[in-house]
Amino acid sequence: MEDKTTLASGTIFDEAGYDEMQKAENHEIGFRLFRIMFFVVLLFAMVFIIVCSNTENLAGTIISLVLLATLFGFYLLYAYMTAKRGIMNPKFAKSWSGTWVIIVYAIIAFLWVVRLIDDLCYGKELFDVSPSIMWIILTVEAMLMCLCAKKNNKVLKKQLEDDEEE
Amino acid sequence: MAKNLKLKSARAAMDMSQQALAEAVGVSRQTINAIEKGNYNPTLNLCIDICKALGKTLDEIFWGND
Amino acid sequence: MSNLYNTEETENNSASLIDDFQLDEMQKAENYKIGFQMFKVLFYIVMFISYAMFIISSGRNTAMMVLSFVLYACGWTVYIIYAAKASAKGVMNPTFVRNNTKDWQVFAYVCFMLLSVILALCDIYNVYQAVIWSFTMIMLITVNCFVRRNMAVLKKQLEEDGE
Repeated sequence: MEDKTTLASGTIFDEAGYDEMQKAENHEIGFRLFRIMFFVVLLFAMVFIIVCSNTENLAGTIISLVLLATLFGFYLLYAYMTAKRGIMNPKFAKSWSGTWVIIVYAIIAFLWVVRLIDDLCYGKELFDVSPSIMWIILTVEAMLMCLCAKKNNKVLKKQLEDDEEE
Repeated sequence: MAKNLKLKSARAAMDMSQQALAEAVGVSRQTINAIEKGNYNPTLNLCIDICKALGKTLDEIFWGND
Repeated sequence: MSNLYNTEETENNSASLIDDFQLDEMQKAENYKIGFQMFKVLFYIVMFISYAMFIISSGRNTAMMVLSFVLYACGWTVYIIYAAKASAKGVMNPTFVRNNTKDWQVFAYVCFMLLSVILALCDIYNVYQAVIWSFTMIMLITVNCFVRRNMAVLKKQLEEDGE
């Protein structure tokens, strides 16, 4: 039963040498933990930004913004990878594919950019403007999410149209 | 993966659309489409449900050479 | 525009992106695969960032040290949950299992834990470093327990079928 070959890394997450059942089980576990981990770390990052901003901690502010940007990078990557195959959560795709979503978030992003520029012109420090940066990251991410949802719809439509029989 | 032409012709013989077959077996039309194109390997349970819906055996739809 | 997804038109039209509700088997399988790949990378990034936070704050900023520990503990908790769920089904990586079932490992972890406590008491290590070390050793011991559980589950699965 044991695979005698030397597997690449042998970490707990390594799926080299797994058969389909083992892969499927591990994938499901990983997916569920990814979901939990993402939201927990996101909450942590947002609290961290606020704490660092209030305590005027520059290093902490930088790290918290990097963490937030990384998390949203992951979220966006997930959205893109599912949209590419047309397998985005249908309800999510439906909610986010409206053009009005991009418009609303673009306006919000613009307002926060104006606020950021204004604060910087007044010589404010990074930890003072970090909430603005956080909101800009959030709104830009939302806009890109909308584009991914639209892409998902397009891919799905193409998949089904290619085989249209009616 | 090769296309599953047997599934497609069995479905056509029953005059069933992909949507109708998808509803009959409880999956999305996208999945039926992916199976017919050879882009997805269905589970055994789904294979059995599809065969029941089309009144065919597993051999007739999913096994053997195309 | 037709309903591409054939979803029911319910009042509640919200769902998060990372959600498998109302997905069929093919969509679930693909989402799980993507989620698993993301999870692997996110885990290591989170651990790296918590370590970076610890290094930057070490000895100077208590709040940041505490937050770095919280993030570190989150990462390890997720790791333990993964080990628990995988071992419950006997699907842990075989090489990982093979490398982590040595008895001397548990003994070594306990020794390291005691050593860190002693060093802290002798003021060679600060309390925070001792806490981190002890916590890490406890997590490694816990993983070791789950590895053994994986072996027991696998053995039972195969024994039940007389093979």
